[in-house]
Amino acid sequence: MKIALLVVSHSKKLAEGVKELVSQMANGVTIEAIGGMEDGSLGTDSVAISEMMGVLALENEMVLTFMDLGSGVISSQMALDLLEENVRSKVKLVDASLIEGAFTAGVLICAGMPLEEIIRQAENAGKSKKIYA
Amino acid sequence: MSLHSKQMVKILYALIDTYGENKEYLSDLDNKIGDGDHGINLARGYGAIRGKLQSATEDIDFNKLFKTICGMTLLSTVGGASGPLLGTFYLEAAKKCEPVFEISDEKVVECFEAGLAGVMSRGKAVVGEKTMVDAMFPAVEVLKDKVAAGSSLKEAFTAATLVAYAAAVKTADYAAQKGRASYLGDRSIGHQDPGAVSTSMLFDVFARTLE
Repeated sequence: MKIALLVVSHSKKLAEGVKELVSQMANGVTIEAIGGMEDGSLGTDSVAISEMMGVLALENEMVLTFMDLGSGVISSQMALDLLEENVRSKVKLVDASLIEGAFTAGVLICAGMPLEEIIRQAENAGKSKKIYA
Repeated sequence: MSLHSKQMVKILYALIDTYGENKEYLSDLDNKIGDGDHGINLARGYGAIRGKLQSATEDIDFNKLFKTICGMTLLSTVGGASGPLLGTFYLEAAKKCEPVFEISDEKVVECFEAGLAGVMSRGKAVVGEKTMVDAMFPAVEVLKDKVAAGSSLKEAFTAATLVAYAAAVKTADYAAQKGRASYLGDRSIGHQDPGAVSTSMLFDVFARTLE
C-alpha cells in the first residue's frame, strides 16, 4: 500500500523542518509540508491543505496527515470536508504529536508495516518516554 | 419582506469597515487570553472579501456571495481557528441559498441557523465555553423569534444585537474551554471572549445597515 505523509503547521518553517527531519529518517517516503499563510504570517489555510491532500491522494492510496495544534486541527478537518468523497476516503487525520507521530509513521512506512499498525504506533508515539534514568 | 443581494453587499462593506476600525480593539481583547491576532486575522480576511467584491463586474447572487466571496475567502486568508469557523458559517448559509438575488426574511433566519449549526459542529462547541457560540446562539434564537413574530429584519437584528453584546460581556464571568485561552483555565476569567465580541458586531452591522 502506497502511503504518503502530510505535515500541517501554523509555521511554514516548522512544517518544512518536520518534513526535512522525517525525510532524512524515512528515505523514499513521500512527505509534503503545508504551513503558514500565503502572505507569510502564521496560520493554517484550509484551502491550501485541501489542495495538497488532493494532490497526494492522486498518487497514493492513503495520506496520513499530522497537525500541530488548535486551528491546525480545525483547518485540517475543514480541508477534509472540502474534498470529494472518493478523495476524502484516502485521507486520514492522525491524532498524534506532530514530530514524534510523523517520524514514527515515516519509519514504519519504510518498514512496510500495515496501515492500522502505523496509525496505532504514530498515535502513541508522543506518549513514550524520552529520557531514561 | 426580503433581503436583496445589493443590500447584503452593502452590509458586507459595512462589516469590512467595522472589522477594519476595530482591528486593534479585538486584538487587544485577544491579547489578554489568546494569541492577540483575532482583530488582525478578521481585518485580513474581510479585507480579502473587499477585494473580491470590488473585482466583481456584475451583481452577485446569494449563493456565490456566501460561498465563494465570503466562505472560501475567509478559509484561505484568516489563519486562526476563526478561518474555518467563519468559513463554515458562510458555506452552510450558502447551502440554504439558490443562486438568487433576493431572499425572504425567513430564509435569512434559515441561513443564520445553518451557519450557527455549522460553527458549533466545526468547533465542537456548545454555549458556555467562552467562544463565539456564546453570542451567536442566543442572537440567532432572538432573530428567529422576532422574524416569526412579524418584526422587520432591522428590528429583529437590533434585538439580536443587544442579546449578543450582553452575552459577549457575560463571557468574562467564566473560564475558557476552547483554544489557547483554555490553557489559562480560571486565569481567563475577567476577560471577554474576542470571538463573542466580533460576532456581536456582525449582528450590529446588520441592524445598523438595514433600512
